Formats: sequence, C-alpha cells, structure tokens
Amino acid sequence: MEEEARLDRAFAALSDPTRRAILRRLSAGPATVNELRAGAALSQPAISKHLKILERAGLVEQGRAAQFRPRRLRRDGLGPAARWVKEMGRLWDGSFDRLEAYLGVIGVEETKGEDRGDPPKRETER
Amino acid sequence: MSAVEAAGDMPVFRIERRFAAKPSLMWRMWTEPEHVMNWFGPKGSTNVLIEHDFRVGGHWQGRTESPGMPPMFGLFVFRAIEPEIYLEWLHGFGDGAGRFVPAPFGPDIPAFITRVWFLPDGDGVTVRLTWTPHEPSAAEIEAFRKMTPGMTGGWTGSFDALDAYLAGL
Repeated sequence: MEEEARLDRAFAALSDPTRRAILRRLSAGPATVNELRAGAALSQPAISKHLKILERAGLVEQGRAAQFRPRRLRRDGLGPAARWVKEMGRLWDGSFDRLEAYLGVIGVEETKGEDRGDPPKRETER
Repeated sequence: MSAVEAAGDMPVFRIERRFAAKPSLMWRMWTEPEHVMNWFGPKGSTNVLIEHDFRVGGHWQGRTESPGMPPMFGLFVFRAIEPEIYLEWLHGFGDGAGRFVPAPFGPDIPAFITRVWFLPDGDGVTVRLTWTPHEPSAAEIEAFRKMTPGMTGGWTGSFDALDAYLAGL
C-alpha cells in the first residue's frame, strides 16, 4: 500500500507542466531555487511547493552545496523501466509512421486494382 | 498517440493510430513478410527476415539494423491469430538462432506480450497495440512498478517528461 502511494505521488508529480519544465531544466544540470525561478517566472513559494512535490515523489533531490542546496535529478528515479518505455515509443511510433508512408505506396496500387475490377493481386486476401 | 497505463500491478504500453486502409489490407501489412519488412522498426532501420512461421506457436525471427547501432535480433512467438481482427505474440529478443536472450537495453527487462487490434473505423482502420511484461520476475516487477500510475487510472504525456528525465541520465 505504501509503495502504491509512492507511485501515485511520482505520477501525480509528472502530470503537471510546470514540474515537467523543472525536470527538463534539471536534466541539463543541478539548479538552485533562484535559478529555477528565473527560468519559470514563478514566485519562490510556488517553486518551492513544486520542488517539494518532486522530492516527495523521489524524482528530485537536494545537493549539499552550502546554503543554496541546488536541486538535481535522482538517477534512480525511473531507471530501466523508463528506458523500456523510451525504446517502445521509438519502435512503435517509428513503425506506425513508416507503415503510414508505406500504405501510401501500396494503397495506390490496391485502389487502382479495385477500380479496374481486377482480381486481388495476392491469394492471401481474406 | 501513445501512453503508459496500469493494468493490475503491471504497466501497459499503448499506442493507437487510425490509418486510411481497409482492415483486410492492414492485416496483410502485419502478416505478410514482404510487407512487414517495409515498415517494422524504428525510423531509419532495415529488416532482414530469418524465419516467418505464421501460425499459433510459430516463430518469427528477424534482424533489425539501425545506423550507428548494433543489430538487434527479434524473436516472436505467435499466440493468437484472428484474421483481420486480432493478433498476439510474445515479443522477445533472440540470438538469431531461435533462442531468447535478455533485452539489449537494460537488465530487469522481460519479454512482452504484444496485442494488436484492428478496429474498423469509417472507411479506415484504427490499430491499437499494447505491450505488457510477460511473466516478469520480482526484480522486473519492481522495475516496472516505478512506471505505473497506481491502480487509479491512466496517465498520458509520458514521453515529454521521460525525454527530459532521460536526457539527464
């Protein structure tokens, strides 16, 4: 149950565009609250609130550089499952794009055949 | 459109797209090797077919080559074939000789069940495809649980955030 609550927090954290923007910024390197504020045009309390949500979700952690405590991404936050999702997206988004393009070629032939009342070109037509 | 959702305690990868083709033509695109070879795989990749035994329990083996990457050997086992309606296979990675090997993009990644629905949609067809882990180990379940939005519902916008996240790894 506790694990479930943690997962809910992680995905709730990712569902907000401002927090995704913060993650995107942190993916380029650690940043302090002030640096994040400058990029996001938000008040300091607002940024702190978003950071707290990201930290509770286990996606961001605080560094120890003196009083500025820059925030950074946690490397173990999503891990291999994230790579899996990325690979799947690359495979199937790419495949569907290619399929669409390929149908453009094949589809023309098929339509021509049907217009002329030709029999199907392949016996495997079901 | 693609998204990660939860089913039970397992994540489901889902992608859905409408194509301007009849279900019968779409079925052939997925099941006839000379067609499959022309579109399957990430952008810029090419395929070499090794085996295509299209029946329930039969194997599909192929080698996918992408520029700048080592070739990947896919090993699929067909599990359900319902012409023009539904296709299901176990999607794993092979050694090119009929044996399963771990996925090349990380430990704790099992094989997957791929399910494809061909849904008539006006004068076209909507293809819905899902991937779920196949008989994952405890470690694999733990790895995947990090991706699930809990039991409460779906979540979209995953790739946006993931791309940002992965860029920092």
